[in-house]
Amino acid sequence: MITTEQVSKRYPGGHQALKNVSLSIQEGEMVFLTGHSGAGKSTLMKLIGGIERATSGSITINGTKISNLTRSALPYLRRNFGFVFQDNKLLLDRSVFHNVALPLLISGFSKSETTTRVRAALDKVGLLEKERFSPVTLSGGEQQRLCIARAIVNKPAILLADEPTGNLDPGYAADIVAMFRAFNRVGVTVVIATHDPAMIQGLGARIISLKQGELQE
Amino acid sequence: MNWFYIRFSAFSDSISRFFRQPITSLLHILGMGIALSIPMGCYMLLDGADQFSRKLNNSTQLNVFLTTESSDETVKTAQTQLEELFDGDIKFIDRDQGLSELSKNPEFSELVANLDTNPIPHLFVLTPNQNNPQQLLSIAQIIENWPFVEEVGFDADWAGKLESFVKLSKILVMLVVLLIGLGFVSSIFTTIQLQITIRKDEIEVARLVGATGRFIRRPFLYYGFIQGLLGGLCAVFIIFLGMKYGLKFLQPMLEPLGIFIRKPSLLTLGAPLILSVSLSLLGAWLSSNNHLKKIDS
Repeated sequence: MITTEQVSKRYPGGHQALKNVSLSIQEGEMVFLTGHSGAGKSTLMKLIGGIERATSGSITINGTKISNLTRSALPYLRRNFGFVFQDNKLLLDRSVFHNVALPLLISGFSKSETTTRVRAALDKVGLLEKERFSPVTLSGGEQQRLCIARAIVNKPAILLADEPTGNLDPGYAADIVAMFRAFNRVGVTVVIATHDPAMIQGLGARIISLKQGELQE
Repeated sequence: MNWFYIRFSAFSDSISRFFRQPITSLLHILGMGIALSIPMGCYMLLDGADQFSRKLNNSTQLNVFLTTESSDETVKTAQTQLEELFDGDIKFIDRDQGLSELSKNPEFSELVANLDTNPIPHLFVLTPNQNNPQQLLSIAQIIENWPFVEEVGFDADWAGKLESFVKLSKILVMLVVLLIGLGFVSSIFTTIQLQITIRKDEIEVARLVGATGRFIRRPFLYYGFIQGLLGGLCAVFIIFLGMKYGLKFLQPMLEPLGIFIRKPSLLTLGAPLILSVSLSLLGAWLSSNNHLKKIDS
């Protein structure tokens, strides 16, 4: 489903974030990307999600080479993903409902379909009763769950989560991990970047380690 | 339905953002309206002057004054030569007829009565069939050189100058419109940049969840459209107020000059509106496109 071949990323200024990374993630798999800060986890997530372009090498998603896609085609590729970020990236001037509805509005869903899907997603993360609230009024854990609801509302085939529990207490973090596990059980491919060993333990998922931009065997 | 829903959401969002800062928005609209209405007002004034100069040119005549000692024989010679040279109506006013007409004027009647001799020369009034000030000027120059001609009066000379002045002024007004247009685009560009900065997070999130460039650009184009439309309407309103109240003061001063400002046509009123909307859309498009290029690079 996701294949990278000799992928490297060098940023302007000369910083080499990734060096010749080759890996393969199967459909329905749950994978943890681990490594210390600066190891290249976030960069690899961005390259897989089509948010940034690799300097060299190729990335293939469901048989489509990202490097072959035009700039205008990339947004359509991104709709196959659900993104969860450490800093949530919530829109604080919009309600919980409208934050989750954004991907559906972008994809052109009707108003009634949007309402049904948003409520279903909020129900899954336990925030249905707070659909009219402002995200500012939610706790850290609830904000992260809201971010997850926005990521899954489009029913994506792949869920990419970058340090999703980084700012959370252990109790909330366990809830979030359990949620990802549940999505994976229903066939969603889940890739989670984390530097937290506690998050990985006991899940039996594949672990891919990065160190200074290189893959560790 | 979805097509409409997506656009309606973006449009209503743009409207609400526009009116979220009512004073800033109002001042911006007023600035746009004033900037557009000034050249439009000047253009209408010049249009009135243009009508006047055309009218003057159309009624242009040559007044050929013969020398006072001209005999009847000279008058006949002059008549024949003028008929050969000039294509149009030739009217002869005898010196006695001229004096009698002058004596009818109460201001001059006493003066005429005390005259021993008639100082008025014979006069030919030439009215051309076709209006061509340049051609008329060259005819006047030929006639002036005839020995029995004292003077040739040609009032199209200054009418031509007025016409040239009006033409030049119109070009200047167009230049002002062009400069204002550039200022317009630059102003909208900055306003939209500000809106983009305010909505930076939203753009970033939308981009991440698969928004196309068109989707991201849309609310800013709508914002530019709303601003341009209201600015244009403000300009039309100012012109309307100027026509209704300003002309009451201006027209009495212009009337003696023969300048009459016409009521603006629908096209004249539509021009600032179309100009304002088009330039605002251009500014919004350039600004949003510039930002999209930056975040995509």
